[in-house]
Amino acid sequence: MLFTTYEDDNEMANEFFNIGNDTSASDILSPKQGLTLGNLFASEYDRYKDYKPREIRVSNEKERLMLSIYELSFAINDLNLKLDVDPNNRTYFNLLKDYAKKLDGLVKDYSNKYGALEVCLDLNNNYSWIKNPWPWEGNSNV
Amino acid sequence: MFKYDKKLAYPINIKKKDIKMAKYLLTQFGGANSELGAALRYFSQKFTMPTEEGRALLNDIATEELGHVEMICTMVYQLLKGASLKELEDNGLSTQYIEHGYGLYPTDSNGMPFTVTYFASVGDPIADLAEDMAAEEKARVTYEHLIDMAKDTDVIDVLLFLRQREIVHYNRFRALYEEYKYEMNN
Repeated sequence: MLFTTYEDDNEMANEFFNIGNDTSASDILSPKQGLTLGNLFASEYDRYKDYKPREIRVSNEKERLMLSIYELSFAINDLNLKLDVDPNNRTYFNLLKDYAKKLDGLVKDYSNKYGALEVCLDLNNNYSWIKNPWPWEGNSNV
Repeated sequence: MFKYDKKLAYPINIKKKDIKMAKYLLTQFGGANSELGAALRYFSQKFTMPTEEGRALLNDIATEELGHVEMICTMVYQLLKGASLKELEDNGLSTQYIEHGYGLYPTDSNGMPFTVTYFASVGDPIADLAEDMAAEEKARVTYEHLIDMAKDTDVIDVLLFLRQREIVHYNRFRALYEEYKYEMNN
């Protein structure tokens, strides 16, 4: 672990997710890959021993929607930190804007169907904020 | 200010009770290299960062770390769900029970309460960022020790994620540190 190089880890990420060669464009992983690895940038991925992160499985439409929200939120957060130290990078900024727009739609959709994810999105007839489970309670895949 | 989203940073659904693992994980809530220490460290330091980039980065990583505090507490809570007093006693958590019941309280794995002396904030961006890089590396190692001890993949997946975040944060702090060093010398 101490002496593995970024090239080794790239190979691992490539092999695991078939992401191709490490050009600057393909260095950015998809939101799904990013959430799975905990890192949106393939060249920065640092493997621990031979552990392989597992993709998160979902079993219904509600969980599928929630997982997409997790994935986009993750990607936005990682682009956010990257842009903080590289604020003029148009590639990262355009991707951030694209994901933010998609996330906004999904969060509104989820809140409307299954209960508010943000208190200001509690817009149906009954106050749902206290009804839908808190995220630490578990009992679902996401 | 902060706004709550009703989700975690990474989903956690632990189905198997594991009191020993809960005890080990407590250290990332309230130990020397804990997420709580990280959140408070960067939150305190952000006010005196000298550039737009620095203020943004420290603010945004502090915020993410607060989400990680919630993740650690979620793991401890789920791992202890349904644990009997006998099980707590057999796994070294009876003294924790005397003080806190089943309540979450920031201590390390030995029950030592969290203290702000775990971190520094000295108003000098080079010194603060050097501490931040070291903190991320120490937290990475702590996660590696926890992964070594963990048996349940539901726990390991979450720990691999949290470990990887330490690596990303280290890289961002290092980029800022090197930029500040360069500006000082040119």
